[in-house]
Amino acid sequence: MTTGRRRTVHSDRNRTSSETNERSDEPTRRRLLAIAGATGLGAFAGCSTSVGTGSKSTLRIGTLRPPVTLDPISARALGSEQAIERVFDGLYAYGEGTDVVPKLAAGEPTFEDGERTFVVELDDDARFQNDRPVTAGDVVYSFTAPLEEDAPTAWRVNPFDSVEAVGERTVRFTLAAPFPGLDHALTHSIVPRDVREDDRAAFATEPVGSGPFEVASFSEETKVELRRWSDYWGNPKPAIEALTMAYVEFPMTQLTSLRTDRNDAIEPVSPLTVDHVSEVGNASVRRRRGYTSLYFGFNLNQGPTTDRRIRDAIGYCIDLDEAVADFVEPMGRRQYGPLPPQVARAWNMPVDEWAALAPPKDIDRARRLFDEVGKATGQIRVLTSMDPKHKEFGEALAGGLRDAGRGALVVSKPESVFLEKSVTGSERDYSVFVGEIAGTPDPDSHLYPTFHENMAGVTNGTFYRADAVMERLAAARTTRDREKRRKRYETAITRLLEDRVCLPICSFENSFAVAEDVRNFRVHPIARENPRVAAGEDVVTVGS
Amino acid sequence: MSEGDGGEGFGVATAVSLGVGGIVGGGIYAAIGIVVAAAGVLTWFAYSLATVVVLCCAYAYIKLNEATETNGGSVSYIEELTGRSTTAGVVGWTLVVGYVGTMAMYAYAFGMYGQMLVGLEYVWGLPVRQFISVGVVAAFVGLNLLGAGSSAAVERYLVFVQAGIIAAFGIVGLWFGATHYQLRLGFAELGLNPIIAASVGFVSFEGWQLLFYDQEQFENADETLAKGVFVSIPIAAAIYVLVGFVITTLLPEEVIAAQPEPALLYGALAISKWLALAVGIAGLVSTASAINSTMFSEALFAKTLIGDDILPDEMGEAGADAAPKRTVIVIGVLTAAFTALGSLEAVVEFASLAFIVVFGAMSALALTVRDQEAVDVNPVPPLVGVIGSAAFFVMLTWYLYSQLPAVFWLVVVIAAVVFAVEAMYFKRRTLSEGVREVEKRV
Repeated sequence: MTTGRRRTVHSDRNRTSSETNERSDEPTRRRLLAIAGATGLGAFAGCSTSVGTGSKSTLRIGTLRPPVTLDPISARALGSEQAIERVFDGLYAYGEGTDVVPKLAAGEPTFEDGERTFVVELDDDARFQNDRPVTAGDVVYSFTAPLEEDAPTAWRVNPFDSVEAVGERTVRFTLAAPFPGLDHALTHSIVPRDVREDDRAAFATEPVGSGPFEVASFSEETKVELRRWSDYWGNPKPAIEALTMAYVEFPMTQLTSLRTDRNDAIEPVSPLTVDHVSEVGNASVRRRRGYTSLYFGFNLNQGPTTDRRIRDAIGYCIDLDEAVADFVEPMGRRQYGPLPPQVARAWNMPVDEWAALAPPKDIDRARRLFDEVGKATGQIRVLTSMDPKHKEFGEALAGGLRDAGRGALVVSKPESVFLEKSVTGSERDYSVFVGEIAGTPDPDSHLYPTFHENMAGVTNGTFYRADAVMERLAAARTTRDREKRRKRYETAITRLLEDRVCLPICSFENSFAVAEDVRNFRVHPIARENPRVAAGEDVVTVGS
Repeated sequence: MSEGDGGEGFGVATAVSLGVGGIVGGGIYAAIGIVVAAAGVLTWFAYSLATVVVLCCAYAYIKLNEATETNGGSVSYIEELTGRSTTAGVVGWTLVVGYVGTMAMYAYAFGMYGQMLVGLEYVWGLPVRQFISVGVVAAFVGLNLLGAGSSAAVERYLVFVQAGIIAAFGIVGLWFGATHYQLRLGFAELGLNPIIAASVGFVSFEGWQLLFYDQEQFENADETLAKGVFVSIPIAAAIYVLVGFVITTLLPEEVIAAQPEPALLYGALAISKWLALAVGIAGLVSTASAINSTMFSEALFAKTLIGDDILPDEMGEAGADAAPKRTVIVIGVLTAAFTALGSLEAVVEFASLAFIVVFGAMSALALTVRDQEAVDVNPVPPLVGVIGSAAFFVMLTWYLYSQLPAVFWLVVVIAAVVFAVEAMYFKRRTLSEGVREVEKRV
């Protein structure tokens, strides 16, 4: 295993260079190799090699996050949500920060009965891309379908007791209890009921939204091409004609794609390449602290990790401080609870206490615990997505398990398969998984979908069941009293950590590397809001 | 360069160049990440261990070459020394498929390096890696069909690109690691892992024995090849050991395990973008060169097997002057299919297993010629070769079964298909011979 030394090497920045490649014409293997070499030389050194987008009214982003579906009801992966947010509008939308402003809604909600019942009027101009007006019925459907379908987005809408159409363009929401996460819930995308119900499978690949972009083409796990909807009813209107988000497997390919003009931007920026974005990619890095974090989740439903001692032993197999320093910094940092550091700090959580609960690396202790449990058959399966960072943490844990004399198998699956397998609760699929939470400033977005039993098998792969924790997670959603919520969350999180339901790993900044000719590109702290190409006063432009 | 150009045979210098180029060319670019995944910081030790076994197997080859009249490789040795044509056939088929796997591995690495240097993942909705991999195989099939096969003269200079750049990376990386990091030998982590890793990366060392298929090109072949092989293996091994040591210093081993394909580029990039560029280009040149030389040698090898009735006549004309065209096409199609459909791990491990089996068999065969007066065989190296290969085979099989079950079953399926086809072919051949005998008598 690695030692704790840091491997971040800062190179000279802000240097670009170019080189011409003149090679002799020989009809031999050398000629072939020369062509390949010249291409690579251009890629690295700054030759004006261009294999990418010709038109500069387009923005192409190379992402490590593949899109899986374009249906807002069933979407769970960040790559999907980032595309969906461009195609669909919600009643409200995020501003430059985490505040919300009206979008499909004509104005602020009007409360009728204290904090529980309110009415939202729809903007008269709001239309879908098939030219049909957005109606109250569509809103009702969008807020009820996730629950009826037991969809991954159900946690966002289940605090609503009822959602009803009062008229063609008026919706009345009734909450079961005061809901502190209401602002975030009202950003939920609105879908056209008739189109989605007509053919849900088709809707997931060729959806109709009310947002500024419509889908030109979609290839699952590969690419989504969006084109500007010329009749967009809202403001601001995008300046770019097309937006493409294409999956890229390796950060190295991302980096060179900037140089060859294949991509205008890449995300996220890997710690392995961040120091070279300027000199190799001729681009600049835009970073903003966000609400995305990584954790090891244990399968408490089936298999060896149902035994607390095994979970403890696994915890002793990895030094996460060292791993985060090696794999993540400076693009993220260690966290000791399921809340990103800035959320934990804003809520005055006892981070030091949680840090004390983090198991130190102690292979001998792990081995003793494994022995105490008895001779195990089979291996500890560590399930990850194909994301390089996720795989790195999976490999690090597996290495520690093997050092402790326990067989370990890292199983890395494509995003769609990972999303399906990581919530089955079957030991054949995983004993441990590397999970990612992309939330908001509200702790509820990090905790309820990830750990509450209501979401088990949907977004929660741990299958943890402890009434005390579940009650607190649910109760914290029913009061606006911040201190009451804080205490409930603190108690629940402490118990989650003590029961070793998960091993928190780190938080990630939202980061993009953006080519010089991309202007007004700003990074939003909420991951799914990126890339924000049509928001605020200055929309994104590409080219001079 | 004078040797080889004026009608004389090639000398030791060319043999060493071809040997180093054949070994380093592609092997390290394709397989180092997988070796690191298995051995971690002890990658250098894993390569050292593999070197010992490979040198012993090479000793066996040299002695077998001295003990036989025919200029060939393992199949010729078995046929001439034991007369067991079926055993020779099994080894021959295993080698043919092993070479296909090796070329698929090179083509995979070429495609990956091409993709990473251009920054292109998909084109027209198709994955670029497969497109480039299949494209480069097709290009060299075309070159071989046009008669522009392996040129020793060119290879000799290409070695400086192939091995020189990666050796330079190792040396610069060593200096960089010494000044920026704490260099570690990792002896505290000694265990089974380096031995497993040695077997995982065994295919990285196979290139030297291609020389034996082309012996007529060399002056005083037995002696020249012996010197060439025994000099080129340690040189290549030194490069592997150095690079293995450096890469695990520059990068966390988990990063290499998670991203084996671009690992060398990340390591080089940590030092300089120019070094990364050089390594990237060297990767392209080396893997492409390795595809070409392996394809040419395998075609010649296959021609011999066709002549011996070990491979079906449908694969090509045994009487062709150079590489039979149909043989080249068949090999190219199989390689393209393998590289397009297989994962890096699958093709590397399959090829490694194939060469472990063949090298082990040759070491065992060398032990049987000890009593020949003409050849002086020290039994220790072949014995080490046999034991080492057997241990590697068991460990690699167990490693695949426990750590890469999907790859394990893929390898099992490939092996089963190969042996089934082989068994059917030999059975058919035996039947047809019987029919011909009956016809003669009638």
